[in-house]
Amino acid sequence: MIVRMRTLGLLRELRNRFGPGPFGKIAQKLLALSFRELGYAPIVERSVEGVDIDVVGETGKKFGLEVKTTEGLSIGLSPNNIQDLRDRAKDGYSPVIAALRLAVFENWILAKVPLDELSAGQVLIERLRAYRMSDVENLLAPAFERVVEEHYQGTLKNGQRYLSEQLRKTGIEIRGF
Amino acid sequence: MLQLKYLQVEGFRGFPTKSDVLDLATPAVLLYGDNHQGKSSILNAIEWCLYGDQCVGGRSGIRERVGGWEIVNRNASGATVGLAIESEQGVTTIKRAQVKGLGKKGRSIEVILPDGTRKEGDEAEQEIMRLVGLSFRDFATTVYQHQETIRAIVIQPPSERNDAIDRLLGLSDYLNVLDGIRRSKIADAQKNLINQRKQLETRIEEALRIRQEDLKDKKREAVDSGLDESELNEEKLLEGAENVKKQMEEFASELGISAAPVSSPSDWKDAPSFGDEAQKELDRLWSESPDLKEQSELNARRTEADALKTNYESQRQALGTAKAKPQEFEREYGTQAEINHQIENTRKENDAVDDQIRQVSPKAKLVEEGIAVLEATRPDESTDVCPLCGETVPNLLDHLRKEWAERIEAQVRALKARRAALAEKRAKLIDLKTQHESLTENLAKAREQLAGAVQRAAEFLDRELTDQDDPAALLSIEIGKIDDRLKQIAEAIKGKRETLNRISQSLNRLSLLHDVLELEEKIGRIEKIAESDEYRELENIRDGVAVFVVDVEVLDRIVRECMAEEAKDKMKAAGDAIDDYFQKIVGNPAAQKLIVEIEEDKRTGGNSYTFRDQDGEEFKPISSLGDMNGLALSMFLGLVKAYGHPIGFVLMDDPSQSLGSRQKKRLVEVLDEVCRSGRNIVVGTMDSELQEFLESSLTRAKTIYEFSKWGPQSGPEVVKRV
Repeated sequence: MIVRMRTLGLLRELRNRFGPGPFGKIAQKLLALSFRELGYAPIVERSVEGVDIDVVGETGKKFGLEVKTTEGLSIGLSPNNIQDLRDRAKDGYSPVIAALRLAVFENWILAKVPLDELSAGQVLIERLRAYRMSDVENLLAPAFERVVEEHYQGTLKNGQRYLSEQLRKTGIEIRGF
Repeated sequence: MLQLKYLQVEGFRGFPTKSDVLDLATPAVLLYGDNHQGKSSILNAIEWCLYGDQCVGGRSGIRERVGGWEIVNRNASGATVGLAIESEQGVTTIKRAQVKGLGKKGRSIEVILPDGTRKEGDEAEQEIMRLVGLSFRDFATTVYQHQETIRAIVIQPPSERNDAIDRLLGLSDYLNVLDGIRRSKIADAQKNLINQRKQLETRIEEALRIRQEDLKDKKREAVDSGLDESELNEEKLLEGAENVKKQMEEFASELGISAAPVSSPSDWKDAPSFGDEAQKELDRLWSESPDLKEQSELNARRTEADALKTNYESQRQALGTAKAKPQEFEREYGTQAEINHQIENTRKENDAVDDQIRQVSPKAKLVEEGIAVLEATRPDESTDVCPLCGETVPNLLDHLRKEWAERIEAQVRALKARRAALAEKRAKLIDLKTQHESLTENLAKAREQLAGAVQRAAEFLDRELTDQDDPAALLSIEIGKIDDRLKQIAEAIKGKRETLNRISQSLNRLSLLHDVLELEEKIGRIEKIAESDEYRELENIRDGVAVFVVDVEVLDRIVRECMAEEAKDKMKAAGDAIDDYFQKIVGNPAAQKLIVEIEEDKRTGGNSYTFRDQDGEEFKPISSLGDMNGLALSMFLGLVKAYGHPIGFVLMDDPSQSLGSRQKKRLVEVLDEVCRSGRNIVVGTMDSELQEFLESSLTRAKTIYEFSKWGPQSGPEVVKRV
């Protein structure tokens, strides 16, 4: 499944409005809302230390997500990112890299990469496809479309502050700012 | 343990002809001779007889045997090697042969077991394997010290030495797999796929950008036309179409005519056909509107009235002119009767002049007539016969012309002048008469045309007109009435036109809405590419390639790990023996112990070998060629000792390549130790110093073969020296 053109247009407008850095955080919050819509709970979204999102599925399956957005072909993984994933793995969270390439015919790739195969540096998004969780991705894609559509205007007006309010409203715990 | 008994070769490598049977049964068999005399061919023959094609080409793991390493001698039609090996069960003889140019068909193998059983083909190969119990790779590592392997370690730069040691340890299969992985360039294939995907993405982005710009323009146009951005959807379009329909019905009612049914669109895509149908109906309603019809008729009537009035006035003016002209003419030239009278008088006067001319000179008349007759009848011939009297007169025409000129002409000239003047006057009078007739005709015509104009005005006004009426005034009154009515109609039409314009604007908005939806659909159609089977297939390929790339990387890592593990295992098993032999051969007093460390080579991903002394210091003297050779031999002999296989012989080819004198002597001492431990040795060497040491220091029985005088047709001369 791909991000629809309309949704891609909205995401690009948000990126143009707020810049790449803040847009990454916006995408992270939109992703957290999408998992919430799929029924994942509890969800923790972090703006500072630790993995970006913790989610727990209905079956009790736990994932620690490191969220990355890019317009290029690769994402950058820092030693801290990897350490954060390792730390969450100790608590029973499967480490997942959630990468969104902001381009036509792309969507979130949720890659459950074995920790011993992770190394810091630039990672080709194409490479992450070897570890993708297609079942979760397929459920997530339409939810993400709805979430972007629903929160686009509010985000455009008030940015991350608006989304943080929405996260709280839906019971997602926010850690950090 | 297995021991070599004897060997015979024919047509194999350096032996174009059949050799003598070589006795290999003594504890030491020494093959002496310069380079290219056939020593190595004997060692190769033992190996080939046991392993056949496994020791040939790339699969041998020996680089020098890749390409150009020929089994059959160039001057022989085929190669045959016979080998006898003794085991606890007795002597087994093996005969392997290959006919040149026949490929697999030309290969044969035959084994005769100690009990006399004869085996051929695959069965024979199986018997050999059962007897030897060692893979070719292990044979090449722990039985046969190839000079290529020693040379590789000795002459390779340190950075490439790891690869040579890997091969010495029998790890070439791993290296070959790793080399295959590297050559496959799987990651490059993935990058190529990414690039192609990126090209597709660029094309899609471009198509999308164009459509999105068109959409933006069209939306702006729609908003400018009065639509709100939130209304740019199908629901609004269908609602708008219903409104247009309703407006048209109301409009028809306002016009007082019945509206034809226009079908409502059920889908936004039907909007253009709805628009066309509605526009046609709107045009029809407008054209059939009573006001518009009356306006049209009145405009036509007014145009006609104007034309009739103009025509009438024009005809009346033309009649006035036509009446005045005859009067002026008569005042100047007289009436028709007077002109006729003058013409008659002129005719009579002319007749009288003619009479006078005839009377005044009958002769003149005759002469004139005679000249005329002569000139007219015979202009080119002279005759002397008078046409009037028939007499013959010489030069008659000249005579008559002279008579006329001298005597008659003066009299007649005056009368003729008079006659010409009368003719001219008569012609003028006739012309005047014609002019008068024309003027009279014109007057009649003008009267007739004016009557026609009056008649048409009467018909237009629908009343009779007499001479007492003024048609122009009546037509002017009628035009005034028409203008008054047209003003009334224009007022009535103005309101209806506004309604018409409103409906047209609504139709235009529907069209814009349709265009917006159509562009959105076109953009959506780009998305459909992602739903196509071909695109899904591409996605599956991307996923498959990604998994494959990772799998290959994992495989690569596993192979490296296995290679490192095997190297470590071998070193662990043979480490002490290697150290022992190294000390004995190299004899470096600073190195009391040789420790081989194996790590991953960060640059190549293969094994990296570090040699340290008892203090853990890197063993520097290892950089000398002699020490390198000593190390290679130590590793080989250490592996021979550690391996514990049932083969009771060792083949060594030119082992002393870079050794110094002392090291050669030490090597021979080590070989003596090997012999005494129960393993026979077959050593090929060109090194006379080593030969001396072998003969003087080997304490076991030995057979020496000297190789010399090699020729392409004859091969070497081999002399046995006991």
